[in-house]
Amino acid sequence: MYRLEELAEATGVSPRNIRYYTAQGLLPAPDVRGRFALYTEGYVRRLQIIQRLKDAFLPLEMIRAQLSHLTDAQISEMLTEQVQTLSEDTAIPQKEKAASPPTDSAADYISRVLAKRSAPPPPAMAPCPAPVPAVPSETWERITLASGVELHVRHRNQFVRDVIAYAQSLRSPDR
Amino acid sequence: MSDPVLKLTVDCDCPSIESALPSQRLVEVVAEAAKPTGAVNRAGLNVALVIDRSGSMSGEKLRYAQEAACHVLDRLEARDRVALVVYDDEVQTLSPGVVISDATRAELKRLIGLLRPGGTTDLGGGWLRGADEVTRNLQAQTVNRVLLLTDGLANEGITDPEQLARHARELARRGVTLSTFGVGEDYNEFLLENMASQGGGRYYFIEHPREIPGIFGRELGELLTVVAREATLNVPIPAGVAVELLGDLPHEASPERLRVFLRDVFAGERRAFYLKVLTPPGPVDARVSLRAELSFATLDGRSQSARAEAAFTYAVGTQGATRNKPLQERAGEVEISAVATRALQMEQEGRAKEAAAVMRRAVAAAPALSAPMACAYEAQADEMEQGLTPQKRKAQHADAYKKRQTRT
Repeated sequence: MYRLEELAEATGVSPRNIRYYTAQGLLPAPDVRGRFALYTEGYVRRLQIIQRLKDAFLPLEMIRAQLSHLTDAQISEMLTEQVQTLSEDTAIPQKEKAASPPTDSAADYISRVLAKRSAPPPPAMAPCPAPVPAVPSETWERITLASGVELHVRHRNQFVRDVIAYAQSLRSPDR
Repeated sequence: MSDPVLKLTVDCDCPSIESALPSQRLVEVVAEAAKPTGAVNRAGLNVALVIDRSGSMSGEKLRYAQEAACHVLDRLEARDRVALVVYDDEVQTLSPGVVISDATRAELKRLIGLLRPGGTTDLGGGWLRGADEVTRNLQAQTVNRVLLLTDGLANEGITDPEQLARHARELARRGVTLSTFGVGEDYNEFLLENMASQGGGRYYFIEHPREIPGIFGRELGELLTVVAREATLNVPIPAGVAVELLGDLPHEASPERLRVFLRDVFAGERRAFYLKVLTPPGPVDARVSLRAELSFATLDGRSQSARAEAAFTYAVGTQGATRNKPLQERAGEVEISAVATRALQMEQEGRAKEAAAVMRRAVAAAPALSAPMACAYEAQADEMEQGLTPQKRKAQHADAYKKRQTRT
């Protein structure tokens, strides 16, 4: 049995959303023992299915209609029928929301990208909600030298370039 | 009336769906281009060769890259344009996009022969300069592509793989595609493959430098036989149905439809896409139709489309209905190849045990895989757990990439 926070951690769904789904009838109301609502293992699986159907853009009413008369066993079966898509693992994000057609040309896009690289950082656009503490910030750039080896630099100077070139020469077998 | 340039067919693993419960089905969408028929009136090419000349390219790598570039020049004709960009930590335009002639060809070869290895690797800068050269002569009727060859890591200029992939996608949307060629052990295969996939082109793993000319030739051969451009697969999604595209392929999804971008399609090419479809409950004998439309531009600029449909009918007791097992196996392989790609990235990041666990879970949860295939993927999981050499990882990654793409 899970408490709300434990269920949230097990599924990656916030407590707020879990309460919302319950209110919307996507999840059955839980048992309440004393101060805490208790959720069974079946809730974990229901939340997994809900997430997947949401990822496929199914509206909540449709999800409710699909799930409302399924038993926990049937939901388990639905889940195991599919390969775990492992959304919790690192994945190169491939899913893109529908985009409107580009309004500028390829040449303009490239100019914008290259201009950003050489331009100084833009001033803050939005007002900060909280006062920013006045400490000098330190930015370090991470440069990959080889698989699993990084160099952290404050400024790219000739020494840094020499180190990178040396690292490259170490890797190349045919020098 | 000539044969249609592109054909579309759709199939599913079982045409009946359960009336009282949601059903999961697999749909296979195949786009096929007519085979080349002798004299092809081909599109002009507008390409940029972008070649890494950083320090690590010294020796045979650069020599073979020079050879490959010369081979490409030999095959181009007066209707083609080529630009030549080389980069290390500095980007140099050896030649802007010039129309091919005997004179320009000779001059370009001369410039290529002068290349010497240099400093670090501004991969992003080199590529964007090449793309810029292509944009100067961008036309709707030409095939506009950058061919990017590298052996190293992007460690100058734009180094963030997600940014580079995003730029690749945005340029592809604006008509400039990208194919990437990684040579040797040290480059970042996840970066290059992602740039090519998002960029609408192909990724090539070149294990030995001597393969460079042949592989460049293969890519060029395809570019020379492009028969359709800006090909897009549109699948409107019926109400209540959930659709998922397998294989981690670039796509756009909204509640109303799924779009997959094929971009340039060459003669005789065949591409298969697999969709996982979840249907809601429904009344017996009612139907759910999934209509796919492939829209594209022909070489002479006309818009055409091909359509096909998968229809499901509600019935009771469909658990026992016959399934198209070979289709399920094909879809299963695409799905598990996507898992393998992610697992390989985890292994590369030092999370070997996790990577192996992810692979084993995927094999266990894929009942459609044939026994030999399941064994092979289990063996791959074991290898991941031991840790892979860079070469082995690249070979496995290239293998998984080909299987996810299902392009022949």
